[in-house]
Amino acid sequence: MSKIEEIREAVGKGKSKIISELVEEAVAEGASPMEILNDGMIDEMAEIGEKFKRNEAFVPEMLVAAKTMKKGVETLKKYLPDGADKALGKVVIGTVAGDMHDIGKNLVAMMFESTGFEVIDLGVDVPAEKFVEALKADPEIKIVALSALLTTTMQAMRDTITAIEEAGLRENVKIMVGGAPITQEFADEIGADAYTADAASAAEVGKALVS
Amino acid sequence: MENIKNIKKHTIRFLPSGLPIDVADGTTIMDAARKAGVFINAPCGGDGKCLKCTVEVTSDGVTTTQLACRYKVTSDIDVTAPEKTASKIAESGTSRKIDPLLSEMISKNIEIRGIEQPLVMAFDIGTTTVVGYLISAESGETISTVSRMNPQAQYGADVIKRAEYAMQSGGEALSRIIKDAVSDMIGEAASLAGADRQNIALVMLAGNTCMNHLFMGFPVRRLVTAPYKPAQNYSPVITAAECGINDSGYTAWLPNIDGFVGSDTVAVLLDVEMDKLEKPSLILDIGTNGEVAAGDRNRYIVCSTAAGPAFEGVGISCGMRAFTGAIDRAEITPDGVELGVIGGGKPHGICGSGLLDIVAAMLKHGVIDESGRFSDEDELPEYLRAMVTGDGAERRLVLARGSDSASGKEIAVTQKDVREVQLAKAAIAAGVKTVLRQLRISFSQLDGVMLSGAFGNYASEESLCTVGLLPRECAGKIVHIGNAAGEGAKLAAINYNEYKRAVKIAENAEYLELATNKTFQELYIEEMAF
Ligand code: B12
Ligand code: FES
Repeated sequence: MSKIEEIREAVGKGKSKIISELVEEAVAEGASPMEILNDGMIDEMAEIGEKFKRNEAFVPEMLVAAKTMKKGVETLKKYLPDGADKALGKVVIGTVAGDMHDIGKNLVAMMFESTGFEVIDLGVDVPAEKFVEALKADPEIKIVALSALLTTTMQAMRDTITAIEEAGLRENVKIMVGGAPITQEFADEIGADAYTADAASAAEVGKALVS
Repeated sequence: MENIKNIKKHTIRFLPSGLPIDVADGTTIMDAARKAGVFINAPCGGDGKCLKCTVEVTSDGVTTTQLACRYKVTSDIDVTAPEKTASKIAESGTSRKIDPLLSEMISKNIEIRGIEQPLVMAFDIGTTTVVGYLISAESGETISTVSRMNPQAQYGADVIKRAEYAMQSGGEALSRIIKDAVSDMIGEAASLAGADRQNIALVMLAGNTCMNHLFMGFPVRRLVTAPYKPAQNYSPVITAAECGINDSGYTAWLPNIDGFVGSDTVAVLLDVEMDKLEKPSLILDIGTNGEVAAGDRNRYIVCSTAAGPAFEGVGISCGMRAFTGAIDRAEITPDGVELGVIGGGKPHGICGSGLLDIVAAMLKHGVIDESGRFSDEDELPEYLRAMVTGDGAERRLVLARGSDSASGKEIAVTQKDVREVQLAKAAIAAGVKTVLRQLRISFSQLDGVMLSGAFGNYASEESLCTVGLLPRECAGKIVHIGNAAGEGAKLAAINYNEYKRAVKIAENAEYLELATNKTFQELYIEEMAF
């Protein structure tokens, strides 16, 4: 097995303890850092995301894989050209006001990150104004990702989009929505740019939206 | 105003009763049925998502099957709504003998009215099922028991959906139909016992906080949106006449503890005598919300963990509630699967206890691994290969082929169903562990694990421990306590001191909020694996 294959396997199985070592070894053996990033980690994470989408992998597997990749990227960073791991731009993500569910949102954030976005995570129970502030503070943000798990907090999604519109920032960003009770129909109704049912598709669609 | 006159009206006849109702053009059958007082189950609250609200519509002699919540009336039609089926409810638990003692106010009322054989009634208002007990106020004996589906189900299966309806359209309709049902059940219980309903001096109610609020007409906005807190924990004692459920007597509710820990939990805690438990115990009610209570009389903690309805058979591909035809027991052997079906005969679907058994058996026989993933063909034991088919989310263990099922459709447990079970079981297991950690007690220190409610009553101990809903240390300690909420409500109805005791129990309960609890979040992820 090549070192890059070993890295892939470590990410896939969530072996976070050995990932840094493997990355160092791969670099020492002369593997290209970009190749380690793309073929060793991004591809593998995308595959886990696919498996998750097909219900073959589940939340814990996704989380450990993402954690492992994160650690690997940290080690690899010093060898990468500046910003290579965040080439796709910035995403701001959060669970909307009144809603504390964060597992789905975290998975989406991780998939964005492992696809090559820089993720600003505002956490849970995020009021509309906080999204607006974040956008004002950082004009480079390209995507706003909103999560809601309660049928009663879906309205807060609408309010958040309205607030972004009223602040005159709507043209600058793409807005994505998701969470168990959300449907494409609802996303259209509140004027979101995209909805996806799972985290892997969210990152794919996000990538398509900015390119 | 002009326009209103011009709106076309059509007549719908609801069969078999033949009840006609005139509605405006474009009204949905669901709205018409709600108006006419005809029950059509609407688990998703009428969003067109659950596909459970099917009715037969006859228009111009042609009969078609339609979704009641989507079909808009554009002509005169006949509608046949499906029969309501009775579900399996947890039988009475361990009844505690208690001497009747009514409050002074109620006793005085009985005296003034010259009632010779005073009665009291207790109700457990569940989100799904309502149970009522008619009790002699002299002997404390239960004379008759009545139960039915909660008619609010036509506004949604879960409390959030119903509360949303109340927020949008006012709470009157929801309050009215549950009160009407209670009034009806009072009549039914009285006539079953050959008693006069006007001799009922007190009706004591228990239910989750949302059921309490909808019944009493309290505002629910704060309950189902931030901060998720009750408008009030205590309900005023009012006359049954004012309440609209009987012409004489009084109505009282046991108090709530918090937004998602209601008076039904208080009733359970009264039934198990939480205030007297010397040794630490765990009390668990597994429903859409798992209510967890643990501790001893000196300190006990309660919390609510949002499991979702998987263990009620909802949101599962072949799931159903514990009605006739539901697979409620299952076992895998090298000779195949052995299924227990409620009422015997061919199975129709799988209910919570059956689902639990199957998932446990799938784990034991290697159909799924500890992460919950279905095994590939070559990882499966020989004797099960023919029963596992499909890929991805649709990969499944077939329990009954179409020819062997009551509906003619295959009955199976899919990869997606297993994931739903993982989400639900993790929520409960993590809730339990978080509470025990907070109390600094371990499972081995627990004196007993008491399971109440319908699912808890039928879930097998072995399967509960195999899937890890409860750890192995609990084996041998699990007791099924039946409908403990009903039993507790009865105690409070019969004896005023017990009612006061319940209030104390509620006051002394420590409520633990899981939404902001770091330990819970870590444990939740950990517990997703089997
Ligand atoms: C875990 C859980 C909790 C935990 C949350 C812990 C945490 N830190 O997240 C706790 C116990 C705290 C909790 C509390 C409550 N909960 Co809760 N909870 C759940 C549960 C069991 C699982 C949710 C989950 O994590 N799913 C797994 C993740 C991976 O899935 P997901 O979030 O849908 O995310 C995926 C997609 O939707 C998508 N996605 C998600 N976000 C986004 C965003 C974008 C932009 C995109 C593109 C995609 C996307 O990608 C993800 C991965 O593929 C569900 C029931 C269930 N079985 O589903 C109830 C559930 C969501 N909760 C519910 C309720 C009612 C509550 C409470 C109000 C009541 C209570 N019992 O305490 C409180 C409210 C707290 C609050 N203020 O928010 C209800 C909601 C019902 C309704 N009609 O709205 C549910 C459905 C249970 C039920 N049927 O009663 N809950
Ligand atoms: S589809 Fe009609 S109520 Fe759910």
